[in-house]
Amino acid sequence: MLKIENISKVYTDSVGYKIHLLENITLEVPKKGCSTILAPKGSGKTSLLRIIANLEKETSATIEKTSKKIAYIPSKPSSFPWMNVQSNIEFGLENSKSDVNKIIKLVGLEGYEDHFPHNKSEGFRFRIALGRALANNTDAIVIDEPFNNLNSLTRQEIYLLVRKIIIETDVTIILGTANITEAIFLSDKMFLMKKKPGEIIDEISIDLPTDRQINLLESEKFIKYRNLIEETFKNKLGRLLYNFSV
Amino acid sequence: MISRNYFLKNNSAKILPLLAKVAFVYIILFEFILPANGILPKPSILIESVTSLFKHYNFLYAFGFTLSIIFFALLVGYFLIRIFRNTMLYFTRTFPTLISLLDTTKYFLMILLVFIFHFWFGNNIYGELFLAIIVVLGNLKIEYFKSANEVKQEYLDAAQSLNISESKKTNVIWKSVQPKLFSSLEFSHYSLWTLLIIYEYINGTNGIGSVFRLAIKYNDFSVVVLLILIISTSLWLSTLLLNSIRAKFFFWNS
Repeated sequence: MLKIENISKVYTDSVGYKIHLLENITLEVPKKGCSTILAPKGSGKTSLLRIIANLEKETSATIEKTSKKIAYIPSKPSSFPWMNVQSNIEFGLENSKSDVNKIIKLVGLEGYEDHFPHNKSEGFRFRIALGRALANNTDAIVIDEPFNNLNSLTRQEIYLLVRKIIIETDVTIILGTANITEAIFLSDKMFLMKKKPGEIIDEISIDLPTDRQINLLESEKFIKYRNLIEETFKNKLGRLLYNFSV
Repeated sequence: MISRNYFLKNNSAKILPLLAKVAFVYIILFEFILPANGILPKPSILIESVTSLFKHYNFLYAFGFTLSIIFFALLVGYFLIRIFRNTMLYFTRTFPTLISLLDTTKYFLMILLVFIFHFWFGNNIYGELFLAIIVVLGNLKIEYFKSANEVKQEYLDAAQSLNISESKKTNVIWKSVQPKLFSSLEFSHYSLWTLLIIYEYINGTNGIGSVFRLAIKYNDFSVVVLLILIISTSLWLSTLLLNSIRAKFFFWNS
């Protein structure tokens, strides 16, 4: 479990003004499953996710983690182009490399071990990044909007892959996204966040089957969740959503 | 996506027929139509000069000398940067202004070094070797500084979040700057051809520069033209070699 209380992030811009990017953010991410931070673009999601992954310092916070090792998958492809798939996934491993082949199979890269990622699609490179995070026995993986540049078919494949990983491993996934459909499909728990300053305005538990298929996107329950989220944003912010992908 | 190799292959394919056409025009024009002229030597005299170049000018030794120094300096420069990459990274981050200054003035500095080294070392061949290594190292260091600061944040974030050791983190930076460092090696290669020929010309003892000096001294214009042709061909072949090394070992975009 990951518990964060009152994260605040203030920075000074080039003119000298203090900008409150994040204000008193409190999150309780359950162990295992996928928790999503759904927020419009420019709300400080990336900063929040980087703070969770220990890549950025917060201005003030109380953070309690049982997850010791948190891998971070940024929005742009992070697989190393000078390494083949196998070496990329083994990157960071000191000793035990026995599970690597299992992980390569799990992320759907079997048969591509010798391929280099530099001229491959973003979906392929995301699989490598996911494989590398899993191979390093991380307790949690923080994923920051990695599906933005994927075409819709690859995106659906990746959604199914992420759900498969949630079912087959004990890893906790923390996803940051501005895409409502993606957030509902992948999440077990959602945190709705507003911008300027970034604040959590609501939490929603998603009660959908653990093993999800693409046709779920058209189900009544799914549409109800989408309406609920849109209503929540509208009620709490007093206006319709903007800067969101649906 | 159109790769760099695509252009290289296509350019090579276009250059050869073009060269053949130029050679044909040259032979017809200067051998038969304008045999006595003050522009270019007759092709037949040019061919006769090949023997003279090897016999009287000791060209093979001179060419081997310059070529060896260029490629030896490129190798030594690259391996020195590789060995001292951590120190270099520290140095470049500690003295960013100095590196920027070096970058801005590098062309002037390279020419200045030629004259300083001539003054310090005279005809000593180690002086020339040292000059070549300094030029390669300087160019590589400047490029390492520039590109190390431009390493994609996503690579660094991904690596850092896996709690890897400092040496592995430096290795990520090192690997990701490789294509740019190799471009710098290519630049150094062209610079060295120019600088060493100037250096050897001034010294007049070793290398192709000294052959140039001798040919100019004897007013042997056909040898000068021949030397220019040989150097251009060598540059072209070296570029092909460097490009094939790039395609094999540094194929990704930085």
